[in-house]
Amino acid sequence: MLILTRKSGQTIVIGGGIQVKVLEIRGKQVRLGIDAAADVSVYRGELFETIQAENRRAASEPKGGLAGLAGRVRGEE
Amino acid sequence: METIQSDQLGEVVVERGSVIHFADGIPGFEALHDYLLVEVAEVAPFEWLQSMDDPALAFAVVDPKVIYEGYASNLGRGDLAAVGLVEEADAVVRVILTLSDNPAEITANLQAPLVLNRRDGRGCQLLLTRAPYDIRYPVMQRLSA
Repeated sequence: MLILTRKSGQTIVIGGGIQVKVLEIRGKQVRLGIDAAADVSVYRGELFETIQAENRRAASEPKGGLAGLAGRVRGEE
Repeated sequence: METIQSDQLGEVVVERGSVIHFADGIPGFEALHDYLLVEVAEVAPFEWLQSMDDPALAFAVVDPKVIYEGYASNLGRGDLAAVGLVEEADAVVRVILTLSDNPAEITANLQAPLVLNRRDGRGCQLLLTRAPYDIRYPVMQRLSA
């Protein structure tokens, strides 16, 4: 992990196209501004990790039950 | 005739039109980029998104509108641009199901839909931050009788 120390108002440039700016530091919170092209997704880390975990669950849970649910959705059962 | 191996489906013929490429992979599986979207009649309307790199990796997916009336992913310009689309109408949206041997316990991740561009085969998983949809939406419980 690359570690940089920034003051309020300073920026970080990632990959040439993404800029992160420290807008304000107040108490325990840091307000960050992120400048990136519209097709670059920016997410809070905890949300991204939650989705990662659910995807892994989805990939590993036993695969039965789907045909039964499909029948219900089609209105057959 | 190009085929891939699937633990779930056996040997699957690759039809160029159904190959989906995730430039950033799917969260949790960032190193795997290529998937095949496969229809299987006995589980319709559900489909399988089969990894072309790992036979053991397959996601059950479904059009969210089929299981949640009025589902709106409200794709913004950036969301669409991520898969090279301009119009939301051209986007194919699917949600990933977390399965269970008990059909009643199957859930759908409505908060993080897959957005697919069927014309050039690009796909990405989008995390919806605006709409408060369930990550584990209980599909059977909410089906109308």
